Amino acid sequence: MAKRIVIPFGPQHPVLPEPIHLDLVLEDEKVVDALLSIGYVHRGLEKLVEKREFPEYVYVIERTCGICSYIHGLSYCQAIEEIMKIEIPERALFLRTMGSEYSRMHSHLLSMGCLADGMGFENLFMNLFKVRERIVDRMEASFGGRIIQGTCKVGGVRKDIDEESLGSIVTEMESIEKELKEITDVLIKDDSVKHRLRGVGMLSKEDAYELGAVGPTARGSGVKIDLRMRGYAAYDRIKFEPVLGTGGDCHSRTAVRVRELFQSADIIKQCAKKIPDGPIEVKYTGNPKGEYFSRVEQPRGEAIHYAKGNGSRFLQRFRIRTPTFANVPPLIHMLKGCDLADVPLIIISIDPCISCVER
Amino acid sequence: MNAEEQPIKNLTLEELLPNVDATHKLGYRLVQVCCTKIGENSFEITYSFDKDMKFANLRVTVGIEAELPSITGIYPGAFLYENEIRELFGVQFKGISVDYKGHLYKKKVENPYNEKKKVQ
Repeated sequence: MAKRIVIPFGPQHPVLPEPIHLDLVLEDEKVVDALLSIGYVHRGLEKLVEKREFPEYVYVIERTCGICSYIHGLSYCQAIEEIMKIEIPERALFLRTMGSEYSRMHSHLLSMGCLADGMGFENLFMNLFKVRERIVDRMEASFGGRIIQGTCKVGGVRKDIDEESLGSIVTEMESIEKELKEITDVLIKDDSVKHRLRGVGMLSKEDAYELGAVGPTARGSGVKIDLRMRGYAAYDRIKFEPVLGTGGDCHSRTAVRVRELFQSADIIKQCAKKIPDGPIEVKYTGNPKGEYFSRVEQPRGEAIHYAKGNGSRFLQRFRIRTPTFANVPPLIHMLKGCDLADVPLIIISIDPCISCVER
Repeated sequence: MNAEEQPIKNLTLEELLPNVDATHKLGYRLVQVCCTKIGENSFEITYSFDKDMKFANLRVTVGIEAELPSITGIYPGAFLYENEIRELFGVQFKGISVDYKGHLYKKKVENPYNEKKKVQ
């Protein structure tokens, strides 16, 4: 048996935008075990709910993550609205759906850009980020912020999109799709990319389900979990099918994200065409009393926001189970048996968000 | 609103593992484990599961002195939830497959989500 050595990976590493530490146990170049350490950016955001009134806590919750902040806000508002039985206007539901899909697009482009950067494919990284800029510019114009929008509120949304802008969203999205097609073809079909990603970070369908994988990590292994199918916001009025891969490797997870980009573009176009006229928020009175698990599909997968109110302005408990938290056990499983040189790519392939994990 | 059914089954500590095992055998995946402080040193631990968008929950209510059986023998991915609850609330688990022994998070306070507990 080869001599075992332990190599520390992180918390600071060129491929990691956020701190995470792994003790990699190696036999020659093969990883035989991996022990994960987190906790460098634990902020105690869940505890803060006891000191912020429930309508203003949405500002805190949106800052859980710098990427999928919109959907965090949406899910929190949804939990409160379900407890308080607040009926949201149709137009607000469509606007929330559009915001979620823009959020998914910019998150996926960021993730794929980081993957390209991790492979040393700088040109691809730049091109993906060029398209991402168009998405965040549109988010700023439509929702008021490039990354943190502050648009969702309990009872609806703060900002409407006028008819003229809705028309230009459709035209612009068609042009973005054309640009994306050219760039993402490289990610899917290029030989050197395939050579680098195929067969790396294998996760079988059974393991993905058993270990609780979610999002593109699960769907890349063929597990059909997409919480949008539950029909929250306006997803029950939109035509779409979950994107599934079969390879269970880094390439399959990337291919799922690529196809989801086009799916998100299609959902945004459907929303822009189907959005009804009407108000964008309703007034409500009272405080939340009861509990609800709000389940939504973030770019990285299923997220759960649990809220429990006792009838006061302050929630008794609020908990977030973020998708990366669920994808940690599958990640450790994928790392066992891989080559040391593949560790960075495998980590990026689950699109980790550490500030989400620790909250 | 598009509310879903969210049944919660209240259990005793002894009933927990058999029920988790039965849920696993029915093909449910573990979605999350959540701890809520409901009184002075009293906690609700809720285990959530999903199968084909069907959501189900098991709940036990325990005191700080209780030691919960780990479900990592049934759902291996539960080790993170159990380590987190132990560190943030001070609720103890027995037999966690990957035991961080209180060092999952780097924190100044021992059980930050259970304020009344004395800092060692």
